[in-house]
Amino acid sequence: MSNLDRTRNLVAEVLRVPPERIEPETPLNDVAQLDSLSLVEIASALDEEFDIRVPSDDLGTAKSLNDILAIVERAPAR
Amino acid sequence: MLSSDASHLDYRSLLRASKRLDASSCPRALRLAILSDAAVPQLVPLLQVLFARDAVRAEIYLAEYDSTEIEVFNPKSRLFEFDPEVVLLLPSVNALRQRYAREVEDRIHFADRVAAEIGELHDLLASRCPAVILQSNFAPPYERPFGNFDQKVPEAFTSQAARLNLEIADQARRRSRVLVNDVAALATREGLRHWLDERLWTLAKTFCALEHLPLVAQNVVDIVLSQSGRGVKCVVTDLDGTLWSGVIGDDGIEGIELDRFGHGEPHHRLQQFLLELKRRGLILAVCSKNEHETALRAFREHPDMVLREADIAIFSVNWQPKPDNIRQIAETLNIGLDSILFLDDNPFERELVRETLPDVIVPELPEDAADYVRFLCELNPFETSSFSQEDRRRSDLYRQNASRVEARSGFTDLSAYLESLDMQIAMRPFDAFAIPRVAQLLQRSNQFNLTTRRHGMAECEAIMRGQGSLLGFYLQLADKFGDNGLISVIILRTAEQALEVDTWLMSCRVLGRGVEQYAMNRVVALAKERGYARVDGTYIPTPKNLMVRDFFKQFGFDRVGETADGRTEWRLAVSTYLPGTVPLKEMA
Repeated sequence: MSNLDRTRNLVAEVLRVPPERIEPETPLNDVAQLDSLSLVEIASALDEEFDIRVPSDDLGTAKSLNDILAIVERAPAR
Repeated sequence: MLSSDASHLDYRSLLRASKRLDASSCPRALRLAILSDAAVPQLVPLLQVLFARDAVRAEIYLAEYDSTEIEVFNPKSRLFEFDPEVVLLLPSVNALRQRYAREVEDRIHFADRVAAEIGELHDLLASRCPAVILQSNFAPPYERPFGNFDQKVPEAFTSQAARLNLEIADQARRRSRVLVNDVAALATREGLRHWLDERLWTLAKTFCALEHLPLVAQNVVDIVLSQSGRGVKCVVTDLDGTLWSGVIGDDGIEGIELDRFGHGEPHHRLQQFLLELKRRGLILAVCSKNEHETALRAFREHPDMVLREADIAIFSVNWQPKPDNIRQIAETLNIGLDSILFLDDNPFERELVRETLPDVIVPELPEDAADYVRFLCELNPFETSSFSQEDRRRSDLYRQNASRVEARSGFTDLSAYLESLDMQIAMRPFDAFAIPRVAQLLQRSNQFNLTTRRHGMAECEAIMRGQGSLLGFYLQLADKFGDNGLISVIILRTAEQALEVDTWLMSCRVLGRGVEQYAMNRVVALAKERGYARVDGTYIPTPKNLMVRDFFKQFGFDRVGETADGRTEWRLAVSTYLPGTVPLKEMA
């Protein structure tokens, strides 16, 4: 599975929506409520899935799946 | 159910399970309120899933983030409207750190101030609702502005936080309804470097790294369920490879290793740990495939043995299958299979016991005996919510009971046997000395318990003081083998028409000795004395108390009602009751 799909599945699970509803450029706020709690869930899940450490200030600015994917690819290893 | 390994606490799997969870069939419901100055919404699904594993449907009220004082100070708050049975207070070390940073004056009394406030919260909670209070302590902070010298600076945050945890323990010791949720132990065990995730605190005021939240939830479940009778009462242990290294039948008594210095050290340490468990009131039994005499010789003669013959209540040393032996141990001790923990280094024996007796707790012991004790402690199967004088003596009590069973086989006539026991009994109204044990029995007894009403400590104290319409009695029994201690609790309601049996429970280890007959004679006599023409009783079925379904019938009560859930109502006309004879003498 590509990094995009892995990230998509994981974000979809946290937001409790079907993965196909999350397009790379769709604002996540249009799909579900992206609050600080779901960001925390996403950060923890990304850490585990990719064995990285997502920087906290990056995540606060993520608006779409592509933004999150960029964070994953930039993030330092755990 | 107590699990046999710790791998079932994965955060993401638990959350997924929570989405599929249907706890509606759980026979028991529990109302739990959570008050925290961190954001812990994830605790709700985690607790629901973990409680459901023990057949408990958790209804949870999660107060708004950081609203603990608001909820507790306002008698009409949603917290009190919710009427919780358990209140979990979960303050975070991050919030404590912020407060410490603000309070720059008189830091040497910082812990005292916070502890006093916590104590005040407990008192207010206790005065406004009957809930059990679970007070969490604090993960140790990592900030050390003085480095190692912090330890010499009493006002340093590390010093004050350590003192605060001691104060919390001290306050809980003084209040019977407050139990400690030892977050500090969890955090240090997992490692402080991993416990807090400061990114998540920054983003959403998260209590700890999410992967550790299941541990916090399981800890809460363990504490809450230990209150309602779940827990290990007896440890059944294998010998060869478990209590010592080597095979006594092959290597001989000189060939087994269990000394403190060599190869046998892990086994020596396990024995020391089992001895601590015995001191804390658990029963120890041995189940091993060996020659009885050979095994016994090790306990009697081996200089390095920590456990001695007197520490073991039952020796099941023979060549029978272990499940048969364990079943027999449970019967002899009159305890449920689900309160037995079985230790064996042999995976085959473990699997056989697990397959045959699924209720028995069988830890999947690690390969290396050096890890046995730590593994057991991490499973936390020995959780309890009380420790009484009775516990300190329990193992001896059961040991005497096992000798009684052996003695009984020498008699063909039961009444002659009972006479020979020289039993003495007393039934007394509640008093301050008996109340801790009374409350404990009310929480724990499942089998011989007619109504399973879990009256708490505070209610027992009210009964003792004569407030309300309940009368409370306890029974003590002694015989030639020793003192059985407090073995039965009876609570009666002085209703208008009848003396009603609110609660009647008895320890199963004194079954078949005429105690119930004696007590019924006394209850009917009391009814007569108080001018009642009737004694009324109720039987409320649970999955565990089938044995007393016909209790009232046996004493000539008439069944006057039955509801769909199996609850039966009984009535006895005092004038028709014929007191049964009992082989018991009144205690001096």
